[in-house]
Amino acid sequence: MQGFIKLKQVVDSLDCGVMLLNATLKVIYINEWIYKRADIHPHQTDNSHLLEAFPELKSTRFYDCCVDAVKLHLQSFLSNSFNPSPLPLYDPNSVGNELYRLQQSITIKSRDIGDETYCEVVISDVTASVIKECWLKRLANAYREESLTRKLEQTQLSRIIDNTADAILVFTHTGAIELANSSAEDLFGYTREEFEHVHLNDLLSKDQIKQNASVYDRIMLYLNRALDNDQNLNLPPVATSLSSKDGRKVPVEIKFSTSKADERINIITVIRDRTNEIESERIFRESENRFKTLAKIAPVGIFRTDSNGVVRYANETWLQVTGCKHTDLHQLTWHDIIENEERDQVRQRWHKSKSNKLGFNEEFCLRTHEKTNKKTWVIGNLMAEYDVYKNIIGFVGTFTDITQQRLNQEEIERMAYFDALTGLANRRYFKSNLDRQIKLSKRSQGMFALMALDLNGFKSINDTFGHDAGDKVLVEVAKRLTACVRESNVISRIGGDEFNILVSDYDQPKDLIHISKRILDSIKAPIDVGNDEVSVSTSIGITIYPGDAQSPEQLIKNADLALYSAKENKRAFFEFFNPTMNEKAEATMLLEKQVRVALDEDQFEIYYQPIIAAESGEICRAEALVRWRHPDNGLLLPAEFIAPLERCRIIHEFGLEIIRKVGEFSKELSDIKKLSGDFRISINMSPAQFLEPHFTEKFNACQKEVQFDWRKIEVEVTEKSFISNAKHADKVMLELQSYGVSFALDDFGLGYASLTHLTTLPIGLVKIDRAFIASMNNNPKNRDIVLAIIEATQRLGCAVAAEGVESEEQKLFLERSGCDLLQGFLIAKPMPQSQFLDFVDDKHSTVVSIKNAK
Amino acid sequence: MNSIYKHNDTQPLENCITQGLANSAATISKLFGGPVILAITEQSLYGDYEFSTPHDHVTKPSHLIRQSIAGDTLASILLVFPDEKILQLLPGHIDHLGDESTAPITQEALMELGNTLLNTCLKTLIVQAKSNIKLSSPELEGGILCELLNSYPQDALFFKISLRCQNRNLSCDLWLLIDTSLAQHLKPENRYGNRGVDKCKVLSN
Repeated sequence: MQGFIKLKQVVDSLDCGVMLLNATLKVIYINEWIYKRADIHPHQTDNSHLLEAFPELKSTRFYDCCVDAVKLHLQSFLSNSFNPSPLPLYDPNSVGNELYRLQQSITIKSRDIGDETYCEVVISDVTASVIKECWLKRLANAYREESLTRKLEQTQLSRIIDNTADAILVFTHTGAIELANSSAEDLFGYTREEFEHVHLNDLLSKDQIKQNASVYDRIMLYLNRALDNDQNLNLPPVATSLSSKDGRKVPVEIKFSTSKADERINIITVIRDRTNEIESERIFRESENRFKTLAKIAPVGIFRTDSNGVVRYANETWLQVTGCKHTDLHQLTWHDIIENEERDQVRQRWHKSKSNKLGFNEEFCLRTHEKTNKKTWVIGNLMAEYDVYKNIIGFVGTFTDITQQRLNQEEIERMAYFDALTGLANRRYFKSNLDRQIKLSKRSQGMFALMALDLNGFKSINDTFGHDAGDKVLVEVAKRLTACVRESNVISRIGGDEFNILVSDYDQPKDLIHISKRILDSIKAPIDVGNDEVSVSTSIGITIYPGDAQSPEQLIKNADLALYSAKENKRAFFEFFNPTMNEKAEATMLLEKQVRVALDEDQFEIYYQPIIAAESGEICRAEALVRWRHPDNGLLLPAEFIAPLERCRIIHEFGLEIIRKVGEFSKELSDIKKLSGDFRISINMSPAQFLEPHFTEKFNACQKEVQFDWRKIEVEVTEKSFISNAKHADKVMLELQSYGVSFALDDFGLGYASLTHLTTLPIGLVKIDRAFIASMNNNPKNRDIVLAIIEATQRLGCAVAAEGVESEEQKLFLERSGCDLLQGFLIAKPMPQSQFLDFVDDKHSTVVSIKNAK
Repeated sequence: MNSIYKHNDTQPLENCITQGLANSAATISKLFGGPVILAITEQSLYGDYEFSTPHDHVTKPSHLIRQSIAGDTLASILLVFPDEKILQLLPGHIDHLGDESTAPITQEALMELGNTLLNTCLKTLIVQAKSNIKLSSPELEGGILCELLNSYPQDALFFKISLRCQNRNLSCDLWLLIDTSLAQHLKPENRYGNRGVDKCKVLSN
């Protein structure tokens, strides 16, 4: 028993748990170690089934192993790793509420004692081991992580070193190369293995050492100092050249640093290949030189500024264009040289273009050139220059001198809008000004006047003195008009001898009268055209906005109507428009229409007024006088329709029709025996008809058509016909004379009368104007003039006819004076064709031989 | 290799072990807390095996579990861990401790693993043999593998087993060597109850 007690004491004192179970797994014995840690009492477990003592053990491996032990004698080991704390055992030293469950390691054996099999369980407290293991595990994990991190860092560092563009060589204290990266291999041509046998001296060739002695010395100094552990060493990067394996000299920049580990000092060099940099510098210098050369010879001004616009560089062309000197560079901005008026605006626009990152391209005027004292126009072009960070570092630009183009353009514009001869505005500019003036007046509710002028007698000056003289007249008229009106009033030359004036600054209509009178007086003064002096006058038509009209077209029309009226009304040189002019114009237009219709519908009739020989009374002539049987107005005389015919430009057609009809009648009359063989019909030709370029051809064509006898036709012309173009008139007359046509000079003595025409032109008959005949009775002087004309004309070989004989007294005087032919109401009125034939039957006609007929 | 036992004699033992390994997979699965697959990839006499396939773990440090069998025969059964990967399967194993000896916790885990596997195999043998077989507690041995196996009988049965822990996607090889003298326990005449075998001594550590 005592032995059992001692055995129990020994077992209780063991530093491990011991449990004995019988074959049915009842608890036979649990030692003190277990009781303390399980906080149970023996009486709680004695003879209890294992699962009663420790219910947690149900379905655990511990229980299965106990079963295996008693049934199969299997020995089992339960480690803490797979079976942490299967029994509820706690650290007996744990304090308060913190109970530490013991980590257990268990051996389960079967024991045969006698015939019975027991299960022996030994439990060890491996808590400390487990804690230690956990700590070791943590350390191991930390070590693993640190190892991984270090490995990663090393890998990254290796990659960085290997992938850096610069070559990296690490030298030992002996100068041997311990480390070389890939770039070093590429740069020098050595492999890493070969670098192990390369020294810095090998890279610095002997030649280079000689050439770069100071550099070499510095490098060696650095190495030595580094090796001496000089902490204060700070060598700046060294530029030199090193030799590659193939002997090539590589320009480099070397940066030095040191590293120390375990008393071992290494020199770390970072070597940058400067080959590209040097090449880039060379290319840049060449480019710079090329730029400077081009800039020197460029025909445009090239300049460069800093970011504030201060000019830092300019080529010679720029200096010439701007008038600046070299000394001005670095002091003024490029916009300082712009003329004052534009400078601020141009500068503002340039600043705006800067912020928009747009190029700047504008035309502006520079300040007056110092040397030439002229203004210069340029197109300025500026583009910003940027650094790698896209900051503006300056501007480059060009100035292209466009002064001449500008002047040319102004000239062209001037030519487009101004009359080249007089310098006045032309029709186009006048129209534009008129439109603008209407808008201004409309806005301000003001008024203005439009004056239309043309020159009277200008055509004859042109014809007489030539176009050069005509131009001088126009130029002088332009000057005089300019002097007569204010500068604000616009004078335009519309065309030919027509002018318009826009008068906007007057207060009342009488101001316009003053202006008109001033103009009239100024224009009528003689004008020197070189060797001669000429005089012209002007007629003025005036219309007022908005009173007379509000549209430009109507204003122009009104002014023209007023002008026309002024010209027609020979006593007035200027007229204000009034609405009746419109009516008159309309009437004129209507008449023109009607005249055209009349010609088409053959409404014109020819009346014939007999002309008799003064001595014999025979009918030797008949003057063809056109009448218009107007459907509404009855029989109209030529004075009422010749002008419209001329305006409609159908006068020539009309004239040919008259010739045709007269030619036909003359054929009819040629069969009448009572008319003398020299009988002829005279046709009046207006100067317009006579001077028509193809008049003779048309006359000829008419004759061919009708087949009348040329000799039966006499053409009556006035001196107006050859005043304007005597040469042409002479040509026409000679040509027609060659066909057999004779000529009579009508209205002689009226207006411009020249006896020289009787000597130079083929005139056979002179007709004294009726005005002289009519006034003979009352005016002895006129009687004398008639006598003089008769005598002079007859002396020159022409026959003389008197027109407008209306009294016996006149007839008698003329007969006694020797006048050859008589015409007038006293003899016979103009009569229709049929009446003329009757007249011929009633009267005998006698052929009067024309003395000295030509 | 001359074996004192013929193939017919060892066949029952082979069958027994095969079945035992199949059973042990379930038990080991409980240990690992997840499915474990055990598969016999090779089976031969240990002498024939003789490290004929080149593998360098022969000279590497390895571990084995030995359990002795007492009774009518003195024999032992070895479970060899030739593959270091087995350690990664063990919970609590601390890696990266260099070449120092395996931590005690790891050793204990190995021992339990081996003991569990062997016990399961031996259970089958004990049940089938119905003889009075006593087994010792497992012993863990570590060292160079070829040295560890130096003295093992050449005519032992050799099983190469693949152990795969599915939820951790880890696998390794185990070797099981069984002394063929155990085969006699499976002879009908030697089965328990037939020979009246005396109770054997319990082997103790």
